[in-house]
This record gives sequence, structure tokens and C-alpha cells, in this order.
Amino acid sequence: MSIIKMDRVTKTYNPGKPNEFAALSEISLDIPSGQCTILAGPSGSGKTTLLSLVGLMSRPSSGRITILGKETTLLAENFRTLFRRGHMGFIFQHFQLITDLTVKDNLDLVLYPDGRPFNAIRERRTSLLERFGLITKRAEKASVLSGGEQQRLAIARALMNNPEILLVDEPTAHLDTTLSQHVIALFEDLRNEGKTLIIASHDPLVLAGGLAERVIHLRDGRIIRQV
Amino acid sequence: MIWNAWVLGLIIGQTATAAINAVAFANALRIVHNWDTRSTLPMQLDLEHRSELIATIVSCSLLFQVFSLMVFEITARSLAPFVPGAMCTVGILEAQPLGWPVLFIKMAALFLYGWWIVLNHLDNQVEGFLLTILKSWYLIALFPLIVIDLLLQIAFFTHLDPAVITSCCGVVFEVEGEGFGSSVASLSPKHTMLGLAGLLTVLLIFPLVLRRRSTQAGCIAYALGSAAGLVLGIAGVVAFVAPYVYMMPALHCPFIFLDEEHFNYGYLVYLPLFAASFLGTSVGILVAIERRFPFLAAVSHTIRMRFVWTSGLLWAAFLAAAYGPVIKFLIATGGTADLFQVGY
Amino acid sequence: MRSIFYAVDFALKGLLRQKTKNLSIVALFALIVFLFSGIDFMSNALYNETLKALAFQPSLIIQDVRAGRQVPISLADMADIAKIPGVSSVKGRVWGYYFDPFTGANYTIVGDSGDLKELWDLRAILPDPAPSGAEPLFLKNGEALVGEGVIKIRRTRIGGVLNFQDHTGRPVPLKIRGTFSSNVSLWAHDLIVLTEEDARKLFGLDPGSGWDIAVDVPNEFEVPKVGEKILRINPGARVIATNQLKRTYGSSYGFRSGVVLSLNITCLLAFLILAYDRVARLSQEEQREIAILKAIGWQTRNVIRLNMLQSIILSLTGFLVGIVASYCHVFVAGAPLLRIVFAGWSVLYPPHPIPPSFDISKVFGLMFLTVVPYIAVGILPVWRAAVRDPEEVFRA
Repeated sequence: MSIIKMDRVTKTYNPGKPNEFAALSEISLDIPSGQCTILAGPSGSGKTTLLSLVGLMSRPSSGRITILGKETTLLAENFRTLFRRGHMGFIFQHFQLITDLTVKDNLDLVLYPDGRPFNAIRERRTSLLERFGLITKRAEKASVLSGGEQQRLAIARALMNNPEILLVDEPTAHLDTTLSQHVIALFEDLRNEGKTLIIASHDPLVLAGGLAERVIHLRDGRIIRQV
Repeated sequence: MIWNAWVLGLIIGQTATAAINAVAFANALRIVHNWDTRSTLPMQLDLEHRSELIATIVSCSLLFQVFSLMVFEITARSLAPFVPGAMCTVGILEAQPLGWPVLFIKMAALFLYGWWIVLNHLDNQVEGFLLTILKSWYLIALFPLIVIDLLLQIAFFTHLDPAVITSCCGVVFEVEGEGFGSSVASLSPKHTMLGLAGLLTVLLIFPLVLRRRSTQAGCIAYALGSAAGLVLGIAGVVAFVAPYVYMMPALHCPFIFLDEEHFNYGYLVYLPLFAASFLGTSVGILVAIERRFPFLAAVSHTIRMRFVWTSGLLWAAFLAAAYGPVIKFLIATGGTADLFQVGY
Repeated sequence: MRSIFYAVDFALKGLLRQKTKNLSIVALFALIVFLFSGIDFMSNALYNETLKALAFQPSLIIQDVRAGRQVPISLADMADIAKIPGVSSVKGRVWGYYFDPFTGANYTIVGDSGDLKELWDLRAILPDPAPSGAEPLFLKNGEALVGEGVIKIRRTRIGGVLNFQDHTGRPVPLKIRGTFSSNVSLWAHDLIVLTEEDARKLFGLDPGSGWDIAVDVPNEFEVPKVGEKILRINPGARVIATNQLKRTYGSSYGFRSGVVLSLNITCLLAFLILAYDRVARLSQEEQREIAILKAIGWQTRNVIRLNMLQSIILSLTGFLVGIVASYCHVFVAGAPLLRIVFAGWSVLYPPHPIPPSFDISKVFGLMFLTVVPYIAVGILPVWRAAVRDPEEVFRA
């Protein structure tokens, strides 16, 4: 069962301008549900662009993207965001935490726009903080956390809305080997829970482990090899 | 010309409102010209963003317009001592042919902005931008009204002549007098009281019926009833609510009881009246939209049932506020006296 | 509903994170509101005081004028004037100003011939037991009711004696019998009420003339007609309608405050430019935050709402601070910073303390003047920041 289907997707930045630049061209992909897919390739190969297209953070210049059976290409921005909120979690390369806010607030604000009951938010937050060993740090500012803790907080935040799909960009880029292995183990757990993972990474550590069911190699915006 | 802090505030605030509306107007024009939901060009995305801007501006404008209406009334009241013959808001509105039009334009703007926000709310719930073009045209049509509001208001204050003798509420709302205000004031208090109570009862029962069996025709009837409720409600304020608040059978002024001397009681009467009739009429507009766009029917139905329900509650609040002084009078006099016959 | 509560909570947290920046905005906003509302409080209070003073004035005042200057008027025409339809009472008044060489101050002297009962209602302290209403004349020759300002400047007290001189230099001793209540402090400040006889002696006015004639016309609409008829009796006279005076004072105060406010508009504009700058030039960090919020599922309108809420919270806080500060400045401290604007009336000057007059509905007007432009200015930049694609921001 494919959860994400891309059909001849092209993404061109600054179309029609002198600095026009095709980040992705003619990508067709099927990503099955409950699996971990790794996008590999050097930087500038289009991994992040592909993630942001799947994450509905930007629109393709042409082609179609169907997620969970929904054609998203022409969806209005409002509904794209709503869809992302409902089904997807994003873990960014630089964590992208709001460092001035506490650990707790960083998690809570994912669920604010829904207006869920406060108790529901607190329950969800507490269980995630416990799971990722951050419960003692819940009142600290995100800026004082160590790199590993920040990464775990970023993962916890992506899980707040209980998404089916997790999109991960360079999860080990800022971590040493031990921490990287720890994070990879976390992703394995998540995959075993049935989440669909798409990880963009060129870290051999990520590629080597038993995490990935499938590796897609990208170069210059094209798929060169699928394993 | 009269120049004081409130006139200045009103003109500046209204200019700000008109300015942001000009931005909305320009963007609405752009949307109407270039809108294409099938396009994946950056232009379409840009237009989507612009429709978001318009929605923000209209929400703010509604807020500003509510302020503007209140401040206009307060300003007019504060100017009363400077114009011979004027004792309250009515005197100032009468002093210049533009007075009443400005007031009515401001009230109309409230309803028009409000309905736009209802449409926008509906449009935001359903994918596909079905109403975006309609909303844009709506706004384009609305813009001149806002500009006229500003210009008339400036003209009103600059042409307000402290040397011209005006007539005040005693004359405008004089029983047996001439003119529209007088004919409203001359309505038999007893009959108006009964008529308004009857209509309000219908408007209160309607939501219960509609909840059981909601039909489009029923909702349109409710909307029309709400519009009638607004008109009859204001007539009722002039005919009997105001005299009972003032405890003076001859004083029908619909403004004086907004002031502090009467504990701003007027706001308690007008707020539910306007809110209830606004939500009630919105129900009719939603039905009209459902007929044009059957795709929106399901979502629109939920929204309009909520409106019917809320406006029913607001009608009840209006009923209480309007008849409160009457009941207070009856209790105080033991139910035997008639304010309009005893002649307190 | 809940989502609005969360938005307010988050908006507050956001504001508290940048304390210096936001506090300076609140302070600036408060300053603007302080300037605007102070002037309004002041003109309002003065106008109310003036109204109180004018409440005791007759409908028409007739003066005699020679060579463009006011001179004592002959009371011979009084009987004719009393016959004009609509006139309820006519009386010749003896009053004027007295320059006190010891203190260098000017006092207002009013001669009471037993018909100034209104003034008696205002006395605050009177050593004698309060006279019953049956007794028409309360002041005896040689006695005076004296305003608090006079008592203070002459360093005397009730029961003390003021030594004045008449126009020929002969001494006129006056015993202070009482003073006026504080709710007419503005116009009774420098007031001295004497018997008419004492007043005539002081001014050197002969019994057949007064300083002016007061005419009462109960129906306001008949005042102009009565004025015309008086001019027919005495063509050289100057007839002043006091309700006209009321309007003149009112629009004069309104105009003064309007002019000062118009000058303040420059401040408002400068402030708005600053405010625009605050929202328009978002730092990298702020843009990144918005992008994060959008990436984790906040819709554009959630972000806009958050920013609008912050603007509203900032401006309302500033507004409250400004209006409270201004209230204290005008009514508690006596408006030391603003007196100069309203001084310049020889007869009327700001009393101390200024009696509080506060109209809550006017707060809405002030809000319309300050909060509305502030929020309006923010809309465009806020929107511009909120619609940027998160991806684009992260890339940069």
C-alpha cells in the first residue's frame, strides 16, 4: 500500500528569471506505508526539496503528489497546513526549536491551533517527555539543552500530533557517533510502531544500519539509483 | 465647523480604516482579474496569500467600524452643548442634513462587514475556494461605502455650524408631531409592546423548531423575521422602551439612555438587538449561498444552525433588556398604573 | 474559544521574551495617550467648571458702553425692560474687580442686595447658625463672604478682618463671615461678596446706577427676541446672551484642545512610523520562529491572529498606563505640565486641584484615535511575515 505517490514532479526555483534553477526534475516515486525510506545523496542533490514537497511546505512546479489517497497539488495553502498538522511530523536539520521557550511550550504550541482541551495536551506532552527522557527538563529553556536533548525534543515535537508520516532531514548532522546511534535506534522504534519514515541523510551511519528498507539515491535533482 | 478631540479622533480612526480598506480593495481587484485555481504558478499562491490579507483587513475593519459607530454617537453627544437647540445626539444629527445618513451608513457597514466575515468563515472550511471570487466582488462593492462614510463624516463635522438652531429629540420624536421619527414615537406603546413581544416569541420558538426539522425555507423565514425584528425592535425602543427607561411618557429619545446618567442602559438594549438580527439575517445569506453552491451545503448547514441557536439566545437577551424597565415599572406601581396615562 | 485562550497565552509569552523592546513600545504608546488624554481631561474639567459658573448667570446681561469701553449703566430703564413679554426678572448688579496693592492680586467683588440666594447655598463655613429661609438678607454691612483663594493669599481666616480702601482711599474694613464650597472652586476662588451698599461705597457707584443689568428669560428660545427689544429701549447698550457665552467657552476649550491635539498628531505619526518599523523589520530570529510555527502546522491566519493579539495587548497596556498616568497628572497633581496651554484667560484660570471629571465613554474615543491607527499600521507587515513559505525562510 503506497502512502505517498509522486508522479513526474518537478520543482523549479525562480521560474522565468535568470537565476532559474531546477531542484528536482521528473521525480516519480511510490513510498509504501509503515516503511523507512532514506533519501541519500550529496548536499544540493534535492533531498530537502523533496522532503518539503512531500511535507506540503512548498508546491511542485509540475507533476502530482498524492498523499494518503489525497491529491494535494492544487490544495490551498490553508488546507495544506491543516493536512500537515493532521498527518505529518517534521524533524528539521537544525532542529528549529524556539530556543527562548521552555521545553514544555515548544511541545504545546503544536496543538494550540486545534484548541484541544488543556488536559489532552498535557497528557500527550508528558508521555512524550517521559519517553524521550526529557521530563526533568520540561521547565528549562530549549536553548540550554544539549545537542542530543535538542534532537530528542525535536522528535518529540514532531510526534505531538501523532502523525502517520515522519519527515526527517539530516538527523545526525550535528551529533557525535554515540548520540547518532541513539537517535537511529529511536527511529527504528518509531518504524516498528508503524510510522512511515522518510529520512534525508548522507551519513553512512544512517545508511549502514538496519533502519532503512529502501534507499533512494539522488543527484542533481534526479533519482539515480533505488536500493 | 467644530473642532475638538473627538472629531479629530473620529476622522483619524476612520481614515485609518479607509486606508486599510483601500489596500483590501486593490488586492480584491487583483484577485478578480487573475484568479485561477488550476494554476500552479507562484502568482496563484500569491493571490491566495492576498485573500488572507483581505480577510484580516475585513476583520479589523469590523472591529474599527463598531468603534466608529460608538465614537460617532459619543462625539455627537459631546457636541450638543455647542449647537443651539441640541440637547443630545439627535440635535447634532438634525443640525446638518448629513447627520442621519452618516449614522445609517455606519450601521449598514457593520452588517455588510459581518456578512462578509460569515462568507469567509464558510469559505475557509471547504477546500476549493468556491467563494473567493464572490467575496472579492463583494469587497470591491463595499469599498465605496467606506470611502463615502469617511467623506460624509468629514463633511458633516466641517459643515456643522454652531450658529444654526436645530431641533432635538423632543421635536424629532414628538408624539403627534410631523416627520418619520414622530410617527414612530406616536405608535401606540401598548400595541407596539404586544407586537414586538409576539414577534420575539416567534423568533424564540423558531430555533427550537428548526433544530428538529431544519429546512432552507424555514431558515429564510427566520432571516426575514430577524430583519423585521431589527426594524420593530428599534421602533419599540422609540415607542415604549425609552419612555419607560426615562420614566417620562413624552421622552422617546433613542440615544439619551446610552449615557452614563442612565448607566449606559442603551448598550444593553442595542447590543443584543444588533447581534441577534445580524446572526438571524446571516442565516438567510447562508441559505442563498447553499442554493448557488450545493457543495457547501453540509458545512453551511452546521454554521447556520449554530447561528440560529445563538441568535435565539440573543433575542431572549433583547427581550429581557427591552421589557425589563416596563416590568420594573409595573412592579413598582403594583401593576395598576399606566405610564402613558398617569403621565409621570 | 479554547484556541483563542491558547493564542493569548502564547502571545503573552512571546511578548515577555522581548521585554526591553516591548516595554519601550508600551512606554511610547503610554506617552502618546498621556498627551492626548491630558488635554482632554483638562479642557473637559475647565468647561464643566465654567458651566457651573454660568449656571448662576442670567439669560441676558446689559452693559452700557461709551467710546468702546464699559461704563456704569443707569438703572432707569429697568422698569421698561421688565415689561417686555417673556422677561421674568430684571435687576441692576453692582460688581467689579478690586486690585489689592498688598498682595498684587485682583479680586472679584459682588454686591449682594439680598437676591443672591444662590450664592448662599454655596457657603462652606459660617460661624453663625444657619439662617432660616424666611430671613432674606443674610449679610450685614461690614461683612463679607470670601473665596478660599483670597483667604489664602491674605493669610487670614474666617472671622478675620480684611482692610480694603474705597476709591478715595478711605478704609473699608470687612469681617469674613464665610467662604464657598469647593465644587465651585474655579469661579469662587477670588470672589468676595459684600452687601450692595458696601460694594457701592468701595466702587464709588451712585445709587441710580449699576455696573450692568441682569435680565432673566425662562424660555431659551425667546432670548434673541427679548435682546432685540432691549436694544430698541436703549440703542447704545451692549446685550450679551449667556447661552451664547456658554457655547463660546465650550468651543474655545474644544478649539484649544483641538489645536494642541493637532500638534500632537505629529507625535502620533512619528510613533506610528516606529510601530510600523517594529513589525516590518522582523529579525532573522523572529522570521525563523514564524516559519517554525507554520511548519509544525499553524495556518497563516493563526500566525496573523497571534501577531494581531500581540499588537492589541501592547497597545491596550500602553493605553491603560497612559490614561491612568494622565488622570493622576491632571486631577491629583493639578496638571503642572499642561496649565500653560489653558492659562491666558484673565478671569478663568485652572484651579488646584482640578475637580475630577471622567467620562468612561470618552475612553472609546481616545482608543479610536490611538489604538486603531496602531493596529491598522501593523496589518500589512504582519501579513507579509506570516505568508512567507517556511521552506524559503529555512533556506535563507
